[in-house]
Amino acid sequence: MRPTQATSPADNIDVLALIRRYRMIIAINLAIGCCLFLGSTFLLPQKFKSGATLTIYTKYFQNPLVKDFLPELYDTSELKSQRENLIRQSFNDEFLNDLGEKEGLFKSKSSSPERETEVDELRKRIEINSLQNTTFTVSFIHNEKKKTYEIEKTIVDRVVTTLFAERRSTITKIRDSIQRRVEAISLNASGHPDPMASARPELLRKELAQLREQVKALENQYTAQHPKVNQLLNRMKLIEGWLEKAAPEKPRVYDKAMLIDGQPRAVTKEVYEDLLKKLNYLNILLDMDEDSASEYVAVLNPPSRPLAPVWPNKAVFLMWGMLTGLLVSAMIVMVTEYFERTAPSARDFARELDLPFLGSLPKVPWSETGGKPRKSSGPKKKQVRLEEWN
Amino acid sequence: MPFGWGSIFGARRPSEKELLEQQMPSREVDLPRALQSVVRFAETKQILDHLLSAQRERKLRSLAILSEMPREGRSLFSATIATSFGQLVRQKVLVVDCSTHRSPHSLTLERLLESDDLGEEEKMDRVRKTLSVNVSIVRLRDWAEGMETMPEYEVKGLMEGPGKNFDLAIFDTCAMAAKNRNNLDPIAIARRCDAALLLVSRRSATRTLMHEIRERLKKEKLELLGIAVNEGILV
Repeated sequence: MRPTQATSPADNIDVLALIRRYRMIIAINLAIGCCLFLGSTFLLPQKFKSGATLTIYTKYFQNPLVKDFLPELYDTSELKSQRENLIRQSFNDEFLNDLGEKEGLFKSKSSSPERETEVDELRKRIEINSLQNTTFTVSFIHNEKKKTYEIEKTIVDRVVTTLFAERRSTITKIRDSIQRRVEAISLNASGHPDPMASARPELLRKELAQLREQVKALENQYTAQHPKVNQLLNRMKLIEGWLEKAAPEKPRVYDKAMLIDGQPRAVTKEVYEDLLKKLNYLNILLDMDEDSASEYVAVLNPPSRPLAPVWPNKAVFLMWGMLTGLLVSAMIVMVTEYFERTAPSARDFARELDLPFLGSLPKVPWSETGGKPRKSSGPKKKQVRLEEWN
Repeated sequence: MPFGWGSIFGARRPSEKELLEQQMPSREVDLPRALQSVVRFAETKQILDHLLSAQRERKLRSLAILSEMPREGRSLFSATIATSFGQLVRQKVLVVDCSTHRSPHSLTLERLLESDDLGEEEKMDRVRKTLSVNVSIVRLRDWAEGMETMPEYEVKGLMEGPGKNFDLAIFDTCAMAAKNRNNLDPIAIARRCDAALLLVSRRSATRTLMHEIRERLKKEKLELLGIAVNEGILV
């Protein structure tokens, strides 16, 4: 019963008293919540996780012998993202397809459109987390304990292999490019663009003379359109072209490698030797990489054997159960208390009982009632009754 | 204990005892004089008017003040009504103290009507005058002392004895839900009175308690004058 409308039910909420009053409901809800959530840990499908820790040393990105061709990175955040990208590159669709096929992780056929979705889901189960700028954990989640470990091993091998392949591929591309330039420069340095012309011009001239004689002889019997005549004329034109190019009075034709700022220049010995030196360095670097793989990438922690499922975690579920129990209890208490505290007013109650409502005592603070503190510290005085005052 | 942000973030919350003490008047406050002020409020006069009507219509001579929960202000209500009868309409009123358990957080009729300054010899009288005009007080247990029956059965004896000298006897009973040893049964007392009055306060303003009160009244078939509210000078 609310004595007055001015009194809010929320004014007097005794939290401890509420807990004491509803302790049974709270205890039951907590027990139900814990039981339900713990029970669900036995029913839900389990997930196991195997992880390995990899370190990609900064040396991986440094090539002191060929700095000019492979610029080095010094920005730590850029290096970190570069490392992460390299790891992610390992898990391309082709690899994931092969892995899924090999381990029987896919349900759909390889040609079906669902396969792409399954490959994406498989990719999501591979977690890459950076511990530091150089160190990363690569983990795999699966519902079979043994298979999780085996797949994780494959994944780690794949990452290490991909990292080496990427580095070698970059260096090899540069080496091949330099090699092509060196070969081109060596050919152009002789001054003869056509190898045949530069090799035997006299022989060509002799052949040309012979061809002319043959053409003359044939023209006596056939017209100029005869195929045999045509064949000989074509050959003559070809040889004439070669000899024309090989003529000493013709200006030189330069290879692109010999053009600097669009102007032809003489290929110096220094440039050639410099390129040759770099080519040698790159070859040395590739030879070195074959023997010093562990200097670039290290597997700090090999794939771990999953002992307990990461999902459903009993401790976490127990906590969830307790929280749910508390929340449900709080809701029950709130609803119950709301209905309790918003009970009809005393007037309504009186009406319900068919009784008159007599009224209410005034709400007066004691300090305003006029009953001032007495000064009675001395010996007890004779009582003066109120009748006597009046 | 009031709820607030302070209670969540570690501010010290006053204990229930401290809160009760805050609501209780200081020992130094002259309560009889304070009551004289309270009876002049229109709200008190409204209740008095209802009771006077009932007195005229039903020949009301004894009235039991009931409440479901302890600390709802029965003693204050009894003392206020008695003071208003004595002071405003000059009727002689006997207040019968039916309580046995004295909570340190409840006001007693002695304190409300007599003050602590009364002499010991005056306190020994069974029916004794108080500092309020026309108001006397008696403890039912003291009255029934030495009698063979239960004190609850002595209500009629009291009314036929010293009660004859008074226009109205107000019985300040124990709480109906109180469970103290040697409590005097408020229902038994109310049955023996001419009428009863139900006092409600914030403590009983819940649906559960309201339901309990309704069931109790239905079961006991008491002659109820009506319902009054204590707004909360006291708990």
